[in-house]
Amino acid sequence: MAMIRSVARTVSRVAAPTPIRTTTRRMMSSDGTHEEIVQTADMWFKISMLGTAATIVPFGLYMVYVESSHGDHHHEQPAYDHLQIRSKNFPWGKCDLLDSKCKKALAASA
Amino acid sequence: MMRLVQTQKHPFHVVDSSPWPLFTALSVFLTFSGLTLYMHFYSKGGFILALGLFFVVICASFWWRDVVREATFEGQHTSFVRNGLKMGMVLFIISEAMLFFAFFWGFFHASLNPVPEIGCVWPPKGIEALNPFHVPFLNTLVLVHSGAMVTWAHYSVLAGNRRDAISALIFTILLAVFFTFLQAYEYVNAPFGLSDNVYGSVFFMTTGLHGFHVIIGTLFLAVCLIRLITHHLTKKIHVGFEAAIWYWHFVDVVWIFVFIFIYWWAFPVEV
Repeated sequence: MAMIRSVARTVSRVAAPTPIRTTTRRMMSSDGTHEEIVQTADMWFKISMLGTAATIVPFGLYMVYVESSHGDHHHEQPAYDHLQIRSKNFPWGKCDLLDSKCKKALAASA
Repeated sequence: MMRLVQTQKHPFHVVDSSPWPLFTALSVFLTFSGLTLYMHFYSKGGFILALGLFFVVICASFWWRDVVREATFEGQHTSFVRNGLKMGMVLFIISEAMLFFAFFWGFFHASLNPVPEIGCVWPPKGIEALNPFHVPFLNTLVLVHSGAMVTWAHYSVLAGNRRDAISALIFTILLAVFFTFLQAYEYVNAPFGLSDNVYGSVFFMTTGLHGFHVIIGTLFLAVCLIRLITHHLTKKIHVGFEAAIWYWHFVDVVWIFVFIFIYWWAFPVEV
């Protein structure tokens, strides 16, 4: 009798429909108390602003200096077979899509 | 809406009939037909390609407009639906990671054992690689800080500080646009091209694919900004914004790998 009761209990437990969760637990999301969230927002504000001011601005200015003083000074390379490979033209013409030097040379020769 | 609440006995979103899956499929078909025709020099190929792309953009816009309406105004995105959407986004990002993995595989295959045709060296003979500590390093700083900015925006939303969230998101988008500008500058001034052996192919394919993802991520964040301004996002429910943030961090992480391996590791050391 005890065994029958045990089986009946197990069956009813397995067969019972899973209750629909009604609480709004946020899966895979940041959470915390309001104070914690406000503090974290403040921390990321400081990281963003200090980081930008301390790294992007000075390094950006340095890059402007570098590019304006010796930008586009590339060494001429020998015409190796594996460079500028062409079996036929591109659909847009003879030059690589972004090769402005080739496009200028082509325009000058025309 | 009232009828729906009274009759729906489950938490799932049973979607209405929509024309966008079919129209999107046809637009993509038109795009790739146009691309094939263009690559084979058919005279109207370019026009068909542009038309296909135009329809893809239109279909994507209207489809997502419908999703926003279902979520924000119809209340169809219950907590169950939101969890499903999040799982979908996670799987999508994993599939994107696999796509980049394939191109990194190509890069390592070509660079770890360079063939005699390119001089048995990497970068190949005649290729002047870009200095990683010039524009690429600036790009790294820009992207990493945009990741910090978007986290600031997210916590501001969670804290209910809408004004800060809008400012942070605007800064993030500005940094994203700056990154794209720097990449374009680098492409135009690069001393090698798309057809300069395997180096040019793998460089432009990987950085170009990443750049394309940056543009998509920028648009995604811009849509979130519009939704933030128009009060679509709440402290508790902002799944679209969270998805955009995940996507942006993914783009950020991929760039770290691109910078370390394709720019820095592959840069020849002067002996």
